[in-house]
Parts: sequence; C-alpha cells; structure tokens
Amino acid sequence: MAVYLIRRVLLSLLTLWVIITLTFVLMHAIPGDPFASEARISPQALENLRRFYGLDQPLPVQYVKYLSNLIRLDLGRSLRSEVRDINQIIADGLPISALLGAEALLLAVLGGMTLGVLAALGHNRLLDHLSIGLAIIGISVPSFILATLLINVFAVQLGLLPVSTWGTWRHTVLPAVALGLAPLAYLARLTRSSMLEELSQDYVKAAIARGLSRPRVIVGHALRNALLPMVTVLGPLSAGILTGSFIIENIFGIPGIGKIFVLSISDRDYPLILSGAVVYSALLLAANFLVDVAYGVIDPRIRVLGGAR
Amino acid sequence: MSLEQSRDLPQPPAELFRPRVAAPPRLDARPPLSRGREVVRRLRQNRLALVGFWVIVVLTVMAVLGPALVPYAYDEQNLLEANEPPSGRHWFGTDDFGRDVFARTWTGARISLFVGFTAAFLDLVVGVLYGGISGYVGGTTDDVMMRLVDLLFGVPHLLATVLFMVVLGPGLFTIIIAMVATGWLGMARLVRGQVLQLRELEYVQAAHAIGVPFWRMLARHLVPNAMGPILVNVTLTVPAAIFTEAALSYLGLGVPLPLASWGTMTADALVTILTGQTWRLFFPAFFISLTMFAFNAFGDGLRDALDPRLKR
Repeated sequence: MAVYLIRRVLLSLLTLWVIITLTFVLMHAIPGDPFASEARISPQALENLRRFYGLDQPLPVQYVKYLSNLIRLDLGRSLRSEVRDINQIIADGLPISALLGAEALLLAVLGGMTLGVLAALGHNRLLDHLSIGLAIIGISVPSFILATLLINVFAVQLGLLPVSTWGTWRHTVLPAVALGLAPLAYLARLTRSSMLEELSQDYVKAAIARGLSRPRVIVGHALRNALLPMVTVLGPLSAGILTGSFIIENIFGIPGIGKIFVLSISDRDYPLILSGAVVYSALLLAANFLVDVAYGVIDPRIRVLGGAR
Repeated sequence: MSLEQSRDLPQPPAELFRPRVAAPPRLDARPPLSRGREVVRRLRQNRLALVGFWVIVVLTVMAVLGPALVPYAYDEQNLLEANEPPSGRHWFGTDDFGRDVFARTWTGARISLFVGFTAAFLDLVVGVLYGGISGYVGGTTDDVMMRLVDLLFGVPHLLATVLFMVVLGPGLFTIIIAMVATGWLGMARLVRGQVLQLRELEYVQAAHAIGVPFWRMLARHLVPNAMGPILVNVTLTVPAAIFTEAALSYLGLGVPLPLASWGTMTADALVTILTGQTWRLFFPAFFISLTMFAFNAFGDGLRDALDPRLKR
C-alpha cells in the first residue's frame, strides 16, 4: 500500500509538473506581447512594464523563476485585474467555487444514490421511470442550457430565486442544481444497475432465507457492496463538476475561480491563465488521489492488487 | 432391417414415445446469424437506440439540406424583420439582427456534426495508431508509451482544450485540434488493451509467422476484430465533442462570429428569457439536446448489443 501511495503521489506531482511546463510553454508561444493591445503606450513605459513583470529576461530564466516561486506557493502577479496579487485573487474566488462545488457534489451523491436504490428496488414504477427520465435529461441537456432553463422557470417566471450573482444561500440553489443534475443522473443510473446486480446475488437470497428483514438486507448487505463502484466514479465526477464551474459560474455571474479563469482568457492575462491551470490541475489531481486512497481503504481487494502491481 | 420392412411395423402412439434426450436444435428455424447481423438484430430490439439512430440520420440529412431550404443565408441580416416570431416566412423566427433562425439552426447543426464526426475520426486515427503500436510492439516501448498516456490523462480535458484555444486562436479547426489533443488518450488505452488480448491469439501468431507486416496486421487483423468497443467509443466521443464545442462557443472561445453555432446562438439568446423572444433560445437548445440524446442513446444501445452481458 505504501509503495502504491508513493507511486501515486509521484505520478501526480509529475503530471502537475508536465501541465505547468506545457502551459508555460503554450502561454509564451502565443505570438505578440501581452501589452501589445494596450493603446497609446510609450516605448519607455512598455519597457518598464516588461521589466516589472520579468518579461525582458530569457525564457529559461523566467521558467525557473516561475517554478521556484510556485514551490513557495507564490503565483505571481496578474497583468490586468485590479487585485494584482494572484494569490489574493485565488483566495477570494476559491471558497466560493468550493462551496458551489461541494453543494453540487452533495446533491449529486445523495440524490443520485437515493434515486438509484429506490429505482432498483422496483416497488415504485414511477420512481423507476423518473430515474430513467432524469438520466436521459442528464446526458442530453448540456449544463448551460439546463442553467438557462432553471433561470427562466424559477427566477424569471416564478420569481422564487435570484436570477444570478452571489450572496445568500438562495443564490446557490440554481447554480448547484445546474451543476449537479448531470452527475446526479449519472450516479442514479450507475447505482440502479449496480444495486440490481447485487440484489440478484446468492448472498442476498441466503440472507433473506435466513430470516433477516428485507430493509436490513438491502441497506446493510446489498447497498454496501453496490456503493463500492461509486467511489471510483467520484474522481471523474468531481473533475466534471470542477470544470463545469467554468460555464455555470459565467452564466450566473458567480465570482469563483471558474469565472476568473474564463475572464483571464478573454483578457489575455497570461500569468492568471497559467495560475488558473495550475490551481485547477492541482485540485483535480488531489481529488483523484484521494479517491484512489479511499477506494483502497474501503475495498481490501484493491489494496492487494495495488500492492502487487 | 430395411426401410421397406420398417414401414410395415406398427408405430407406437406418439404421446407414449417421448425421447429422453433433448431434440437437436432445429437449424431450419433460424439459421445462425453472423456476428454483425446478431448485433444489428439486438440493436433493433432496443427501442431507445433505434430512435437515436433515426434521429441521427434525420439530423444529418437536415444539416446537409436544411440551410438550402430557405432563401436566407445564415449571416444575412435584415433589421426590418428583427425578432419576428416563427411564421410562414421565417419558420423558426428571426433573431435581433433579423437573421433567419431556421437557416442558423441548421448551419449550427453542420458545425456541431462536423466537429463531432471529425474529432471522433481523428481520435480514432491517432488512438488506433498509438494504442496499436504500443500494444503490438510491447515491452519497453509499451511501458514508455503508456506512462506518457497516464501522465497526460491527469490533465483536465476542458482545461487543456481551453488552453489550446487560447494559443491557436478561435476557429472551427482549432477547436477540433484542441479537442483531439486530449481526446485520443482514451481511444489509445482502449485499442492497446484490445491488441494485448488479440495478439496472443493463434491467428495473429500465424499471421506474424508468415511475415505479415505491422501495418497490414493492424489494418486487417487487429482493428477489425476490436471493432466493437472501438465503434462504441467513437459513437460516444461524438456527443462529447459536440458538447465541448457548444460550451466553448457559449463562453465565446469557440467558433468566431457571425458563424452560427448552437453554443453561440444559445448565448446570444440568453437575454430573451427577459425580453420574450424565446424561439431564439428554444431551437438551438432543443436541437443540441436532441443531438446529444440521440448519439448517447445509440452509443449505449450499441454497447449493449455488442456485449449482452453488460445489459443494464
């Protein structure tokens, strides 16, 4: 297990380094100067700006400097934003995005699993149809269209919730639903099929034959085993929610890192783009790593396999 | 005993004489189907997949013909007829520049389907070559090639695509390149896994023994026999690519204006939930959802048909 963990950490760090390097190279491969679009700027001022941001130095020097700053968790300075310190920008945006992401993830996991289990038990054909209907909506309706629909119905027509921006918990409802519904549908479908498979296993029949109550068998035995595969999809799922926030935060005008990142792209704010990529990748790699570890802890069979590899 | 004599023997009543052995399968009832036909048969029993298939066909036909059915170009402005609701003149209404929404919707279909099919095809080409070489050559080559894939797999897809768009600049082809830059990884893994299984089989060993060159091996022996999972992967790549294009265009990072993409059309029509010209929002939103549904339903059905054990 320890060897496996160390290998995973190293691979994650290596991936992060590759992403940082590739992004750095890509950013500097863009033709033109970041300040080229600034109108009416004297050559002297341009020179000073370039020196201030260290752009006058050769690329390898900039790269080493960037990396060493990064290790000290200093993301550098933004070219355009009013709050020039990127650390500050990220510190402002991250809690907002994290809250939104956590809400969406919670909604997806709790809602998806409940719906999936209920649908698998098959007592209620309506619930089964609902889960299938939701699954179809979840895979077919893109999140930005879902968000638009939600705004139209709940904010504009019914006036129940605020249209956009960020503030009270009521502001978080629509974006969290828009972000979480697709993963919810996916999880519901997965839970349903996984649960159906477990329920047809012999040990379930044996437990019922022994006289255990049905709810106890379903929750205590079948559900426990059926939920195991769920943990593996949590990694890609949180990835989807994370990148989904690019779109959702932009539609709802939420000042999280997703909006900051997209804004930095249209602003051509290269240090901020680079930082966005680094922060997003680090979060994702951390999420994937945690999921892998969690899976090893929950399912001993994986641990053995992981150790043997 | 000859046949002549047996005819004269008294026959026992049939109901008393039931053979204890199961009757041999009646081959005349249903000739054994080839694998391809079997898959098609199972696919046709799956109503959702069938609906998906025909929707794809209709959408493709409309993407080709649609823009030509009305006498307006997708970028033809007519400010006197701005924001008109659907009518006999403008079947899907017009937008705020007086552009015909019908023409724009099907131009958007062209873009979506073109991006989807091209990205899926390029993923296929790169993935099959990379995965095929990695799996077939094996050894250290395989190790190195797959470590590289593992490494790149950690890169968030949408993020990488967005970064490529920043560098390459907006445009139809840059979107495709940006998507293929990360999209081929899944296909490469899949093909490698398939090749690893297949290359141990005797027919591949035999082909190798008589000196079939690598390219021929890949094209004639390995890929055709791994076609099932590859096809499923391709079918499910198309809606993913369509979604990515629409999402990027929605954010203003996709196809440049005035080209009509379903993503840009939706983004432009966002204000209409306040101003009321909802047809401008409805048509692109409806058709992109329909397209995503059709490809996903068909892809899922195809997977079930190819591997009945995976039945949901």
